[in-house]
This record gives sequence, structure tokens and C-alpha cells, in this order.
Amino acid sequence: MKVKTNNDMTKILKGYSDKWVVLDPTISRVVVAGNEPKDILKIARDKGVDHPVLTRVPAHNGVYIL
Amino acid sequence: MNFPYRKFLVDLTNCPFPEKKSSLRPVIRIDFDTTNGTMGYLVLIDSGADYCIFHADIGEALGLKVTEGKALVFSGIPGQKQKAYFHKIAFKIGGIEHCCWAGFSYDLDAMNYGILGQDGFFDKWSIKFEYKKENVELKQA
Repeated sequence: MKVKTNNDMTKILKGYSDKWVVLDPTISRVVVAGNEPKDILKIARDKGVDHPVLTRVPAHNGVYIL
Repeated sequence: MNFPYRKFLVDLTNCPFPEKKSSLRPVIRIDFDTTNGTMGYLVLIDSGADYCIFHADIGEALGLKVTEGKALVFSGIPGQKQKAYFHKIAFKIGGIEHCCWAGFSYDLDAMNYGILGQDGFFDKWSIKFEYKKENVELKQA
């Protein structure tokens, strides 16, 4: 089974440095962004998004090495 | 199940390769049931991590009393000490129920995503990384 969602996050997350963002269930667009996950999840649900997807955009997009 | 690698922007002011604009990463969506409804969360499949570690905000969204979990002090390559609190939780991967212990940390603000590590993920799934195909294949172990 291939799980189909958007895989190019470069344009979607551009401009949200150092923010939490809620994406739509297909991960195709930002519904709302902010500093507090709890607040933006509520805003997204109030907007009618029944399955909000939460992620974080680190400052300057981050460099991932662990 | 197959999941696509996802493409993320790199910091163009901090990149040794001028032609590089993005990085491909094995980041998938996992899904939680919460008292306020379902929600997704992006996580990195990280074979170098010992444990599954998520942002503390996710634990709070799940209704957990985060700091009452089993404590772990951990560090990444920089060596800076961080703390996580482990709780037994359930979520779905591609619609399949998955239960494991996961740590929740208030020290992950510099991280994009949660981490699926060896204990709690790699011990329950067979994972095939196919970078050239931009695909990750998961099978229950």
C-alpha cells in the first residue's frame, strides 16, 4: 500500500521559521501557524479541519544531524 | 506499506553546497486519538536514535502529565543534555495501531519532528530505506 500525501515541503513551509504549523490531512497546505501547538490545533479544528497534522519549523529551517 | 521521503528546505545561509536547496528525509505522519479528536504528527525514522522521542507539546495534546513519566537524560551529537519523560502510548502508522513507550521532551524546539528510534519502532517494524526511489517500506516485524 502506498500512503499518498504531499512529499515536497519546501514551498509549503517556507516563511514559517521558528513556528509550529498545522497542516491539512494531506500535508498539502498550512492551515495555521503560531507559537503554541495547543492554540493552533484549536484554531484548525474551529476552521473545520478534522484531522490536523502538527509539525515544527525550526529557526532557519534547521540542519538535521543527530 | 510505502511512504515517500519528504523534501525539506535547507538553510541557504548555512550550507556548504551552493547547489543544494533541499534535503530528503524519511519523515512520515503518525496519527493519534486525543480527547479533542484525531491529529497527525510528523516524525523522522531515525536509525541512530535509541528511543522514540516526541515534543512535549504532543504529550500535552494527548492529555498526559508529561513530567510524571519515566525520566531519561539524553544527548545528541553536540552532547548537550536534554530530558525526556516516557509514557506508554498508542498511535497509528498508515492506519495500523502501534503501541510503544515514547519520551516527551521540552528540549526539542530546535527539532522539526518527533523521532522514531530503535526501542519502540525499529524493534516492531522491518524498515527498508530506498533513498534513490525516495521511498521507505515498512512491514510489521
